[in-house]
Amino acid sequence: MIEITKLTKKYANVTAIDNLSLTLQQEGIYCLLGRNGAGKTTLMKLLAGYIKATQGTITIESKLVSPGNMPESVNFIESGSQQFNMKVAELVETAAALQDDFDLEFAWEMIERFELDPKKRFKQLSFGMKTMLTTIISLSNNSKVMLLDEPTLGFDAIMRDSFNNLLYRSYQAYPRLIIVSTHLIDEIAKITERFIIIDKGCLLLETSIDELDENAYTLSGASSLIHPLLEQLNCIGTTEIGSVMAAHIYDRRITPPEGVSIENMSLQDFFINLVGGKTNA
Amino acid sequence: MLSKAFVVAKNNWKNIKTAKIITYILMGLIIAQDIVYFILKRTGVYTINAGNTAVSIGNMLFMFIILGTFSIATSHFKKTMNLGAKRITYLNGSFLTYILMTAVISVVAILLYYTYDRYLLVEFVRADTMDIIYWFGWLGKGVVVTYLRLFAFLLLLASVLHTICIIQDSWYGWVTDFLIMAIISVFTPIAVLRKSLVWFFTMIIFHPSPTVQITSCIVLSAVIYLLNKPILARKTG
Amino acid sequence: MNDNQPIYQQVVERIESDIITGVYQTDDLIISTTQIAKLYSINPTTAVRAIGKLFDAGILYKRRGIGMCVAEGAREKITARRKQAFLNQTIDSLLLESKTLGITTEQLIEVISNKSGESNND
Repeated sequence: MIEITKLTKKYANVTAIDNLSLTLQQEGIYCLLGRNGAGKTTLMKLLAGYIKATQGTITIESKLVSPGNMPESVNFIESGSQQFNMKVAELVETAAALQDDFDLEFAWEMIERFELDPKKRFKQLSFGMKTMLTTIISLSNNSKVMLLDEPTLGFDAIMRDSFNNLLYRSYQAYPRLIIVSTHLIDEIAKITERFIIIDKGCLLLETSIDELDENAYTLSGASSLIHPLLEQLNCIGTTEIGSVMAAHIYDRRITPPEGVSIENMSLQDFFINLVGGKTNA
Repeated sequence: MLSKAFVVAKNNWKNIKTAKIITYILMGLIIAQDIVYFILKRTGVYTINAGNTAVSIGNMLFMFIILGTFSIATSHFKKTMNLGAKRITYLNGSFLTYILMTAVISVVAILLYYTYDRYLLVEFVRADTMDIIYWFGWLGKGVVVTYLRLFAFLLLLASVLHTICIIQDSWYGWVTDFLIMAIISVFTPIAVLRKSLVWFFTMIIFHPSPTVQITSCIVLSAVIYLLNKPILARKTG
Repeated sequence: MNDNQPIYQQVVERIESDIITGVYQTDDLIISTTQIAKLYSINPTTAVRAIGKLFDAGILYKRRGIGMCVAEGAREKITARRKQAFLNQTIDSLLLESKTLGITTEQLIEVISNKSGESNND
């Protein structure tokens, strides 16, 4: 569906996206992970045709994307999107009247479920509720690709949880390609199927929750026992204290020898090791 | 297609509150002033003099177009997009807003000119009324012609203002601003160029033939509408 | 969820345990992947994967339009596999640990027969 080929975006002296290639074929909820300034927003803007690539190409559903050639199938929601200052109910009904395949029933269900007051005007809503409403409106149509840039910024834990539920429910109702950028990793891990990890404009890894579940783990024990194991495993980071060490592995699972314990790695730790490891090198 | 454009138009109209408030305040001020003068005139405290002219209350309605266009072109684009509209729907809807708005405003402005403004003249509250339909020489060929001339001109005004506002976030917006300023400052002092400027304004405003003036306004508006298509295709915010 | 196995594996084992202990009988409908995801607070994809593994192993079968049900002989299959795993791995590590602690096989056997005698008498 999305094909990114050797994409580079430079701003004056800064390279925001650096020769990045990536193909996303299936529908699914993709989580775009990266540190602040890793190029997440730039990548989304390029995908939406908001900005021009310095080099390389993007095609979405076989159509070349560029400013002046913005894909209608892509829905890009920036954080803090504004709406007309009308009542929630009016906004939703206007959206329904403006679109061909707007699922009004789904929108109402979501509004009820996430306790948005239909009588409130847009400006009376809290920041989180505003984002929630904009997202509900966007998710209630059948655009093929959804780009959500830091949607849960400024949300409390409970709202983040409802937001993730909202996203997952909508995905079940309308399977499509959804890319969410965030840095609250472990929360989004409950709903995403695939992860795209970028750092300094480069693609570090594109992987699935299944692979991470199976292949991301930590070995800990005596350094003398662990070092030999690392020769055959892809180690993304180690912590060594005295003669004891913990090694973070992204590779097939092994049955550890006596004296070495194996533990699942949280996505957060995985991300820190993967990105941090790269910075230390 | 058209029904969606109507939705955008309705929404545009609903959401130009600032334009409405300012317009109503200005109209209210004129009415208040007229009432004061009217009372003073009746009580004999005051007599009319030649300097006592005022802007027609109907012309105040043009503020709707100036301020409304500004809101529609600047803040409504992104918000309409956020409701999932297509760019072309926004464009059609906005131009439909201008067509309907200018059509109605022209009727009301002419009605007010012939009733409210006329009454004040007859009552000697005002010595004169400044109204573009008089100043631009659009009277004397029947009220329908006056109406069409006014409507066509206002529509062009709205189209131009809308387009200038909408391109302000890009380089061609700045180029346009520069060109407009250049035309005004360079063309005016040079006789030959000034002539072309005069010719242009004659075409869209003063032309003795209503057909020529109306047609040029409508055609120019249509051209501007078409220009908006490529502009919107690359607009992001 | 514990920490030393992939999550899908843990889900597989919980469902298997439920089958062995009789929470689910043959032909019983098991909870849906959505319910599993909610119950253990895990990614639904992971739940789908766990159910997929059980289906592939012939522990579950699909009843169209209803969901996943426990297959005929599922309990025996699981028990047989776990028995094998117990004899291989658990006994291995028992022996290894005993060796480290200097416990002889004879001592081990004695303790085991004493303990099992106690539990039989209960």
